[in-house]
Amino acid sequence: MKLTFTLNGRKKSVEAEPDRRLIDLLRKDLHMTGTKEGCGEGECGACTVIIDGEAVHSCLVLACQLEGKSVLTIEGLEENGELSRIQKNFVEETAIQCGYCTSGMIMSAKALLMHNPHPTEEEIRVALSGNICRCSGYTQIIRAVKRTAQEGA
Amino acid sequence: MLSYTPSNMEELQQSLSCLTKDSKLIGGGTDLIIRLNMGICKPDALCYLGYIKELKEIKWEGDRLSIGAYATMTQMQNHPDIQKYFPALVDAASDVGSLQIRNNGTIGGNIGNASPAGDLIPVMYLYDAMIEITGPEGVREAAIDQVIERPGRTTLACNEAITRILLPRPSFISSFVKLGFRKKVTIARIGVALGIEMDGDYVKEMRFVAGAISLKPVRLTKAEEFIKGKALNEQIVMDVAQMLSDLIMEITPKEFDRDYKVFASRGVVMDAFKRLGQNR
Repeated sequence: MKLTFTLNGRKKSVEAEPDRRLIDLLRKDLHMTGTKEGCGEGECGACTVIIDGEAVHSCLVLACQLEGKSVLTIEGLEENGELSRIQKNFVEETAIQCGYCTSGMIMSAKALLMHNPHPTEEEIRVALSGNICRCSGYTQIIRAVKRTAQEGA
Repeated sequence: MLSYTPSNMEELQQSLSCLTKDSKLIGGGTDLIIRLNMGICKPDALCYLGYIKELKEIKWEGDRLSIGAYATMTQMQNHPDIQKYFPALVDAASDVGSLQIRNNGTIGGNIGNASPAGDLIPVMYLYDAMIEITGPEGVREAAIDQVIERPGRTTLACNEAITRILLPRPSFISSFVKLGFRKKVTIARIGVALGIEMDGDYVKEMRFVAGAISLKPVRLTKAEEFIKGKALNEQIVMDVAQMLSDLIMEITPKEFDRDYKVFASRGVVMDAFKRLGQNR
C-alpha cells in the first residue's frame, strides 16, 4: 500500500505492507535508527515515539494505522543541528548509561512536557512508568526531566 | 496482505462484507500486533477502524453514554462525563498497561480480545453495557454477557465489528480495583468492579463483579443479597471479602493462581470499598 504521513515535520510517502510495523519502517526502510526496539511487545518503552502528540510504542503501530498521522522521533528533536534542551539535560544529568532506553525515555518525557510543561515528580514517574531502564537507575532521569521543565523547554 | 481502512460507516459495512474467518479487525493493535509479529496469528486481511471519526466519539444519547469502540483508554480516563458518572471505568482505563498502551489501546479492542484479564470487561458487566455490533447487513445491540463467549472468543461473526458501547447512566457510585504483581504495567490477577446505591446509612443495592478469577467475569450474587439493607462497616466489608475468597476457592482453576487469589482477594475487596469513598 501507499502510505502518506508526516515524519518529523516533513511529508513522507512510502510504499509499505499494511502490517509493516512503524519501528521497522523507521529503522529498516528509512534507516532512522535513533528509535530502538527492546521487547517488541509493549513492555519496555524503548521504541516510544510521539504520534499526533501522544507517546506510543512504534513496535505496536502498523503502516495501515498511520495514514495522515504525524510521527515525531528522537531525530526530530534536534534544533538547528544541535541537541534539544531535553537531550542536553539527559547528557548533563548523566541520565544515560548504555543509552538503549534513552530515546524512548526522552520521547515519553517530551510527550509529557508537551501536555504538561510543569509536571510534579509523581506525574513524571507515571509518564515514565512504561519505560524501563536497566542500568542508570531512574533518579538521574527524573532529575533531567525536572530540569528541562524548570528551564521551560 | 489485504488491508481495509474504511473512513465512514458506509465504507465499514462494505469492508466487513469482504472479511473472512481468517481476517482481523484492528483497533489500537496493542495485543494483536504482538501476535502478528510473533507469527502466531496470520490473517489474510486487516481491517482498521480508527479512521472512522464517529467511532472515537464519546457523547450522551438520551440517558445512555455512547462510547465509540475506538476511543482510547486515555480519552476515556480524561473525559468529564466518564469521570462524573462512570468512575469505575476511569479506574480501570487508567490502570491499563503503560501510558503508551493507554494512548493506543481502545475499549473495543479490550472487549473484542475477550481476555479473562481484560481490565474493562468486569466494568462493562457492572454498568450493564450494551454493545453495538455492525455487520454488512446492519447494526444490532447485544448485552456484554452475550458478547463475551470464552477466553479470546466473542460471539461476533467474522464480518461483524464492535462499533459502540452504550452505558446507561447508573444510579450507584462505583469503583474498580485491579491487583497485579506490581503497581504499573501489569496484568490483572484479580479485578473487582463495585457499585453501591445507598439509602441513607443503609445499602439499598450492591453490584459486585469479579474479573480474572474465572473464564468470564462473575457476579458475586451471594454478597449482593447479603449486604442489602445493612449499614456499611468494616465487619460487613470483611464478610463480603470472605465471600469472594470462598467463591475463588470454589470456582477458580488451580492453574489460575487460585491459592494466591484466595488470600489476595480479601485485600482487593477492601481497596474497592475504600476507593468507592474516594469516587463518591
